[in-house]
Amino acid sequence: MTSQMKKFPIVGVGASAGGIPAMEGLFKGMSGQPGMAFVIVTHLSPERESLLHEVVGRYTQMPVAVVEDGTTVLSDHVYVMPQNVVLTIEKGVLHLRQSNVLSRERKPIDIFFSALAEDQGEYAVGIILSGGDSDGTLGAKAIKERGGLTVAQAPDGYGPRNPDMPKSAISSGLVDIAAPAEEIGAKLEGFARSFDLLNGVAEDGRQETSEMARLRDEIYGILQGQSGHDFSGYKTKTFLRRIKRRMQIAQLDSIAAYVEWLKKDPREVMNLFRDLLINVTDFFRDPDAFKLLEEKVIPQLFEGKTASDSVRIWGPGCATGEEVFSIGMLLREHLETLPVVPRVQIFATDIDEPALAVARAARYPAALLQGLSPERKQRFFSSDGESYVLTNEVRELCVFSPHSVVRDPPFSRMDMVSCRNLLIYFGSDIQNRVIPIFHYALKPGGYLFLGTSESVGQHDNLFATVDKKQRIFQAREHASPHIRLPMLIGDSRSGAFMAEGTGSKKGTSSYPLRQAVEAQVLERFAPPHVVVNGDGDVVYYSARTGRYLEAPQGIPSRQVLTLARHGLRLDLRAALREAATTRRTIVRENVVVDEEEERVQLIKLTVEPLAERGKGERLYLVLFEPSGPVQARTDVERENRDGEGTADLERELRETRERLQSTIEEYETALEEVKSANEELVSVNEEAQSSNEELEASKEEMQSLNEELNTINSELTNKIEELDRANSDLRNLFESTQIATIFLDRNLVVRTFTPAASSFFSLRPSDVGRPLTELSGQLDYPELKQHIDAVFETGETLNHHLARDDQGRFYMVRINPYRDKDNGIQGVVVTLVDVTTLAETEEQNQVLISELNHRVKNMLAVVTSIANRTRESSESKEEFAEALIGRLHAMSRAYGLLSKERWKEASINELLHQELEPFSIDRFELDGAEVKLSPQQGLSLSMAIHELATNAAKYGALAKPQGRVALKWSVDGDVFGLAWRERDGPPVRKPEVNGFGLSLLQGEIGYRLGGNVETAFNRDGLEVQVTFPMMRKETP
Amino acid sequence: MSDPLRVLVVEDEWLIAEDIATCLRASGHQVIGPAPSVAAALGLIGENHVDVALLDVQLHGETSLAIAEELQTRHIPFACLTGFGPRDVPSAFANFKFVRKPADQTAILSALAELVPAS
Repeated sequence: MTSQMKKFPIVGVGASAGGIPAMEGLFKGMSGQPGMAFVIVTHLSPERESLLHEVVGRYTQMPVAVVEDGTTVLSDHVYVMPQNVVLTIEKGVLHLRQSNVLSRERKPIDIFFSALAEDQGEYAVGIILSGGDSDGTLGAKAIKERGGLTVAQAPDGYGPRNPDMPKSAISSGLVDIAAPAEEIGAKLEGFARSFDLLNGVAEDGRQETSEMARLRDEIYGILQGQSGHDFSGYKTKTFLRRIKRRMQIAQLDSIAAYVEWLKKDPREVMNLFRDLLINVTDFFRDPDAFKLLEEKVIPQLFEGKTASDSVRIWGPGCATGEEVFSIGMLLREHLETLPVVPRVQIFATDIDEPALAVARAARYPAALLQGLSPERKQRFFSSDGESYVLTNEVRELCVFSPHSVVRDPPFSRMDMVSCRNLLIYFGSDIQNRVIPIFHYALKPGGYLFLGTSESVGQHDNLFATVDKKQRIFQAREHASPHIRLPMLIGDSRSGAFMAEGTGSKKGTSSYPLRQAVEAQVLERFAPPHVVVNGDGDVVYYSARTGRYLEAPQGIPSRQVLTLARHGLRLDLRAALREAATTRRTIVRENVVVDEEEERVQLIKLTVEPLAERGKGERLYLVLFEPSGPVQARTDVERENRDGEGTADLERELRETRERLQSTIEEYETALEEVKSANEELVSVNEEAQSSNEELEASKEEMQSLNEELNTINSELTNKIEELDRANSDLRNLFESTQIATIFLDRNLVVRTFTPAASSFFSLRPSDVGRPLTELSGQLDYPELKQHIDAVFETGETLNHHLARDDQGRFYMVRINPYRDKDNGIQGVVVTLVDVTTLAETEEQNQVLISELNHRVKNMLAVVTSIANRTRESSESKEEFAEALIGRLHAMSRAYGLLSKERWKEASINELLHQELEPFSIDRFELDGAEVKLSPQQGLSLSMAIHELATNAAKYGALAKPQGRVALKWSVDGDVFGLAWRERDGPPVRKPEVNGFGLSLLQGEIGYRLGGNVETAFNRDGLEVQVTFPMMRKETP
Repeated sequence: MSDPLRVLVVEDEWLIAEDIATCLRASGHQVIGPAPSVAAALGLIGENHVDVALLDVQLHGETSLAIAEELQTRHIPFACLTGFGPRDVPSAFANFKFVRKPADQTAILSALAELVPAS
């Protein structure tokens, strides 16, 4: 309450589903400077970031901000609650608290509204817009209690889209203004302005003018006239504050105008009355009364009860449940002290179903728990976010059901009825009907617990007072059956104020003369008569009715049917009923009324509806007119027999009447039974209803669970499909690789295998699940078991080459550990790969390598030998080098040719050309067909030709320019022959020593090829004849 | 120098045979052969007294196994002279003594000394 700053209303706006269009309507219906601050509280998903402030910013010129902790509320600003927090307000400063992820606050609007109410008092305004659930109802209650203004969105053509939230608030009776969203803005602005105008009304009440006092008295009068309550005892300030609130709502600026309005509109009187009595039922409201209840009454309720008995308590008008829960807590506390626990049932009823929903949820903001002692709060409530939830042990005592005290059949056999602050809303006639209902509902000796401003009124014959101050009463034992029947005729009027203001004048100070005369005449000459109401209760007796009515046995009664003398009762009942239904005068002639001493009187019985007297109860005049002298019964009977028939007939009629009477009584008893059965059914129905609600709630939960499960299921289905695909991929892979694979588990039991594996182990599909060791395989692999054990032990892959099997195939066995996703070894995978080709290739490779080795070494040996021989036959270093290099070149050329031909064969033409080229080929005459020689033959021949050519170049034909060499070759059968003939060379001499060249020729052709070399040293040149067999086995 | 020996040389490559023979002669041994083929070798064995033999394994399309067997029956010591290692020769040769080609004079002579220990 800052004094330096002008006070302005702070408006809490609560909205949920469908709230955006409602807020659009609200803000668009307002000017840019309404003189108020707005705080928007919504139900937000904690997972999503809210953009509400941006959305609202489009609808208003006021600055819109997301609340931060410690934000001071300024006028003409809009604040939006962020997600995931609980919002409260203290001294005009907003506070945020991070809400717990586990216990998300489900009623943020209630929390903020109650904080707002506490902080801002009558400057607090709560608006409840579209939304599901009943959030805001308890918050509105708190605002209303502190004198603030409550507004709810009323249905119009468009909204609210989710009417539950505003509907709950409206039906709780706590909402001052219910209007469509678009109209709320204007009403709020009017309300805000009125603070300035009306500031003098309540706050400055210290100097009350006489005019003010007069108007106040006038209002007291109007209220008393309508409701029967006298408010002059109320605190003036409170009274004026309530008036001011009504004036703000009505948009009136002077009390005089308001008084005028009150006079015109009885509904406003009603509203004011309600506002004045605004009673927000706290827990343990009126602690003294509850203390008394706890100490005196509750122990009485349990006295003498065994475990099979039950204690039944009825709480009509329970509203949001605080009162019944308070009693429930007391009972629970008491139950703990008992050795034997009877069943306890609290029937909590109200006509306001949304309020019942709030009560069933039993979730209250902290602000509404102020009546609770900390011990009880600790004992009975668990904190769930910002709000508190009542423990189940109290909730389960209470059964909530919609029920009207006035309209519906009452409960019965109750041990206590607690009905605090409900009767004040009823007019006196309804009160007078309700109190007997309570009496009916109670067991004899049961307790009635009323609010401090209520009483049993005129019905103190039904209730004995236990505590006058705290309004606790006890039902008296009562035998009269008729008082219990609330309706003899189906009269179902309801409403509180209908019959008010018509109180009859009781003062009878002076009658005029005529009236006195008439009264006397009436008294002397009129027939005896009574006036009864529709229920048959006598409201007026004339003189001399004693001959027709007599006081019955038992407790006093006004019921005319009970009072009527024997013989009269049947006719009187029938006539009364007929008169009540037909509204006509009913006359019965010759009714026989028993008198003393066996005498009877014939009378004429007339029942006539009394003329309408305003809106009052219908009354009936019952006239008794004697239609003859008093006779002895026998005379009458005789007379009747003489006049109309026989005495037998008369007796038969009487017997019939008696039977009828007993039938009627039986009928009444049966009716009673039906009624109590009905009550039983009602309460059973209530229980069924509440379990139905529970079922509904769990059904909803199941439904959402089901949705979740559906989603999971479809995900699973997808995964299964993926698995199927992967599985079939794997199967195809296995089949296509032709790799024999067997999966074994820890006990070497076959889990699965590929088709290729079946042949090794003679596996059939039925062998899955059998230990591998039991199966006879074709595999010669005795170490398999040890190897598998080794893999289990080391966890490392093991490779093993099997020996060549009888079909000449090589297999490689690979044993892999089978690891599950936790990397534990759950089995092994044995694969068998056919590596025959690989092995063969490797073998071949080995052969090639050794062959290469052999050849290279051989070659080196040959080279060494050539070098040795050449050195022996050389005279100088130069000659040695030349000859050696020439020979090596010849060899290398021959090898080149052979490798070109892939070491298969050698062409004689190419061979000769190649060898003779260095000696100018045109000096040779080549004559012979193409012959293919073997590599060895090619090599040897090359060496031979080289030696011959070298020799010719040095000493023979080629040493002379004109010298020539003719080569002629042919194949004769199996023998290859080649002739080397030199011409025109220098003169030939036979060398003295067989030179190395000739030795080589001899060695290569003769020794190596098994051929023959003949040399002839002719005059004109050397002639060499070479022959060797073509077909000779060749080593590669 | 050890006692002169009569050494049978079986080698199909003339140049190599010549080289070995030269080497043996230079060391004072007498060379029987050289023989380029099994038939030639067996003929020489029949005609001459042989103290010791050096055999090439591959002989132009045949192996010297038959010669080796004949030598064994006659209790004539011999060594295989080859470019192949013991692993690469046909398995029948696996247990024979080997001299790797190309073999220099020292290798050949020490092999002979081993085969015919000086008495």
